[in-house]
Amino acid sequence: MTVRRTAVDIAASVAAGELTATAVLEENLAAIDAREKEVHAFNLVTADRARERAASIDADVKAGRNVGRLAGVTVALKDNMCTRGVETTCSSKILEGWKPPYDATVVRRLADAGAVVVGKTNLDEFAMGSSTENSAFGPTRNPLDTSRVPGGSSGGSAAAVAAGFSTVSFGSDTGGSIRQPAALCGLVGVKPTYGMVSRQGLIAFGSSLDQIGPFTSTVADAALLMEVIAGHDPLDSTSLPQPAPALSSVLSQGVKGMRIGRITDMPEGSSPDVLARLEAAFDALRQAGANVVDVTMPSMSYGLTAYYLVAPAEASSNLARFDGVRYGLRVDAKDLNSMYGDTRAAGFGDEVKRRIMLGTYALSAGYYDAYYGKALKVRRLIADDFAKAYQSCDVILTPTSPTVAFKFGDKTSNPLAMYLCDVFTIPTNLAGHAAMSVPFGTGESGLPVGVQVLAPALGEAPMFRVAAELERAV
Amino acid sequence: MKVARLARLHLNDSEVDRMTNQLAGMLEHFRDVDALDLSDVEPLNQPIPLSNVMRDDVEAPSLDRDEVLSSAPAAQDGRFRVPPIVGFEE
Repeated sequence: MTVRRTAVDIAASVAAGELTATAVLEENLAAIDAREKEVHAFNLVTADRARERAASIDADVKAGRNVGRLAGVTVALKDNMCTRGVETTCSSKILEGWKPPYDATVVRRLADAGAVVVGKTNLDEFAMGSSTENSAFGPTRNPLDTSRVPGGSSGGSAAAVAAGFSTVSFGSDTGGSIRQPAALCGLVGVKPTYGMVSRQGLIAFGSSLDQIGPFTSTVADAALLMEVIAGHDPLDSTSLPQPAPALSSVLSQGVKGMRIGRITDMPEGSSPDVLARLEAAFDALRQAGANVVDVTMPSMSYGLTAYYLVAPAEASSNLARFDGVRYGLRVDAKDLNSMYGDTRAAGFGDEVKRRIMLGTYALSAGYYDAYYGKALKVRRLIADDFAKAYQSCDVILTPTSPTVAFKFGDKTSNPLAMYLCDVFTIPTNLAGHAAMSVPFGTGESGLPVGVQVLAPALGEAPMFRVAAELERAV
Repeated sequence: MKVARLARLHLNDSEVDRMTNQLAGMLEHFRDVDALDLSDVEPLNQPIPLSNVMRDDVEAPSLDRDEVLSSAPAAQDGRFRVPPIVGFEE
């Protein structure tokens, strides 16, 4: 196993001419050669492009040109982010072979900062799932124990960093799809405040919930990446009109005097090993001078229902664009409507069909008020609960996932059991708030446990302060 | 079946049976919110207070048409080509 380098170290060393981008990349490509067959983190490895890119950064350094804040940092991108001229599939047969005509804003910002893209990572089809078992191209395995899932839906991105295939990676989080795989693979994973990071070029799942965020080995790396990718984008009409927050500078501030919320009516069902680590996290923050205060979230457990109506409703609308007309798969038929129906039946997998059906039903005349309308009201209750809780605390701590990484097939036969993986992560997306998962020791079978730090909208600075303290305490 | 038609998904009989069962199970679970009094609650459609975001009305280059059409399943004369739209009732 190669030593994991951090993005902060690589960027500094490459810019100073002490390390080449090519050397960093070759370490990753060697790790990919050794283990990708077993892990299956990628849908596509772009080794040639990456080598050209690394060589051009090395040439820039040699010539004394400015190389950006991520010079030589290798990144893997979830395969639902558009990359110009490079296949982007969402792990779905309906998009197989599609090469986008533009780059996502995040992809462009990473390139401008000197990052080197290693490849496109596997996901649950259209980001719908919590284990990466729903990919049309086969599951990703957890590099820490290949009999277990890496989590999902950004499982390939988490596995890529955990296996040393890239320094860092990016995923998207609609209901926990960055934080849960980060927890299951022992990484830091961030779901930024809604509107903080541009969604332009991210293939939409639930447009009022989706955010792009990083997977990293350290909190400092996550802070650096956020500073590069966040900030207003005129191409995304839901982008907040403000610059990226300064986060690297707050990491050493400590948590003295901060108020850490502890939910007294937290949804049940977490395993004892996970709850023990959460208690240890509260203890560590107390030791560091923070105050732990009790808060209540009476509607938190209803978040699951609200989410599994709102997200499929938005998805059923967003995925209407995959109709065999402009891109991707087409199954020929005698008329347009038959072509739509046959193409979508052949192109989408089971879980995507299930959610399109659920969303279509929830939005259909006669059922709208009973399902979608009600879900939006529950969404308001959850946001109100948070607003009340944050009057008495700065951040809230919960488990990220109720359990450590589970085995393949454990939850595939029962969609509801899979949905329950997201009970702690979903409320953040419904409220549009920020949250991150920080590895905090191990649980059952020596597997990593993640603690989730929740913060209000634009609360990234206090969130990162607490995350940094937890990292120091492990 | 009606939902599948609205969603433009041609499902076979066994898929319809399986999905009908699974969806019924989920909808049953989702009745948990019936325990809440939602009569005076305003729906929350989206989490941020932005509305009607417009850019200035100035011309800017758009995507290259040939590049876009090159990834279409069928194109002709600079347009997307599709099967007949009218004259074929279901």
